[in-house]
Amino acid sequence: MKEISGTTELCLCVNGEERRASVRPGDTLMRVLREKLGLTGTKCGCENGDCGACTVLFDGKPTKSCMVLAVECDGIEITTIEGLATHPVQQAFTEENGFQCGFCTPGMILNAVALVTAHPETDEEADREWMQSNLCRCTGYEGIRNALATARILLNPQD
Amino acid sequence: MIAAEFPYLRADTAEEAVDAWSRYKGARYLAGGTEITTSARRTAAPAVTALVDIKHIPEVNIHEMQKDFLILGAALTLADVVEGDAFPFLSATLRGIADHSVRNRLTLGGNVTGMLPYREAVLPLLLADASLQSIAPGKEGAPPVRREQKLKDVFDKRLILAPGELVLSFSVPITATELAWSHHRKTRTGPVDYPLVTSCLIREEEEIRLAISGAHPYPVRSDEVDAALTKDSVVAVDQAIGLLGAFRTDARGSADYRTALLGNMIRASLEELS
Repeated sequence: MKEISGTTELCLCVNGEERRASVRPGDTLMRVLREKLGLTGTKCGCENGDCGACTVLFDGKPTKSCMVLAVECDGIEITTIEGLATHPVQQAFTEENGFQCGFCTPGMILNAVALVTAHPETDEEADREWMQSNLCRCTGYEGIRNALATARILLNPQD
Repeated sequence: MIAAEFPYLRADTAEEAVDAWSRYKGARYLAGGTEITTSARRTAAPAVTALVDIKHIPEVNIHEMQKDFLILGAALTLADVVEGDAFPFLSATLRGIADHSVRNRLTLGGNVTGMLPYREAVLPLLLADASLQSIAPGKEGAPPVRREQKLKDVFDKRLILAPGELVLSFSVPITATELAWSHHRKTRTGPVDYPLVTSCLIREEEEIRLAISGAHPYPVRSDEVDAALTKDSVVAVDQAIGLLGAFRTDARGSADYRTALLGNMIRASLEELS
């Protein structure tokens, strides 16, 4: 049985790289990404699993990193907004003005990347169900919805 | 972030998990961790003396048919169960809980054993007469004890577990996964909110069974209510609701409003199932 007490150096797989950080068992993944690894694209919003600003991909699945302890992440591929580089979903958000203040945008984009990967064809029910996980206080939802449609076209140009 | 200092233990077997719990009195089992991380941050929960991570135990991740039963591991995420869709009634109920991203973390066992009043996952499991498999520390140094019990026999407002008892899985009779069902859920705001009332009905031949959440500070299923509904279903709705006891009033809605909602839900369900 693996046991971790006190501060321990942990190896995390983040954006395809092995990253080392000193963590306590009580440190959430969101805090470690931001404060130990400098990946501040993962935003700290409610820290209660409500807003989705801290969403990362956890083996490809959108996950709120404020509700995950870093010590649980052994063997998990974590993708943050920094790991996307130039993804068609990012281009679509730019083209459709799928953001206003931009605070929710990293979480929105990561959730949208997972969504259009799982549902390459337009699926309004899935879009609604998945994107309800992220809140935009600027209420820029129209641009975000349009960005999903544009992202699918960019990813599947033959359609 | 959880301010308290505590050890994290990752168990590879169920026996290791209960042994770890025995070594750290007050330890909590960790699967999805959503309730632990949020309540501990707000210091709303008792202090954590240790977290025992159970996600790497193979039997809590089972998701398969075995003979006449569907076996659902306690650490399966709600999203896993919904995507597997082997029990559509359960899938429909789970889709109402939290939001899609959170369902990628929330676990079946965590929802059923959690501290929140709603615990909607238990409703279809109770109606389907599911059983649960668990393991508990042995007394005075004896080996851990495994047991299987009917969920309805160990659920009274909440799951009644022995100290340190760990839920491993739920088994649902395959015949129950094929019964006609109806699920209704109303919230105060939008789809991502706790329910004012969630009602689940299942029909087995002439028998109607009802389980609800949101109207009380705990989920409710009652043989007396089922008998009333089955006896004279449409006329007996008000009588059945009366048997459910006092409904609660809170910021989301009054007891009267919840009563009216549930009446409408049950009548709609009975029509669907007729």
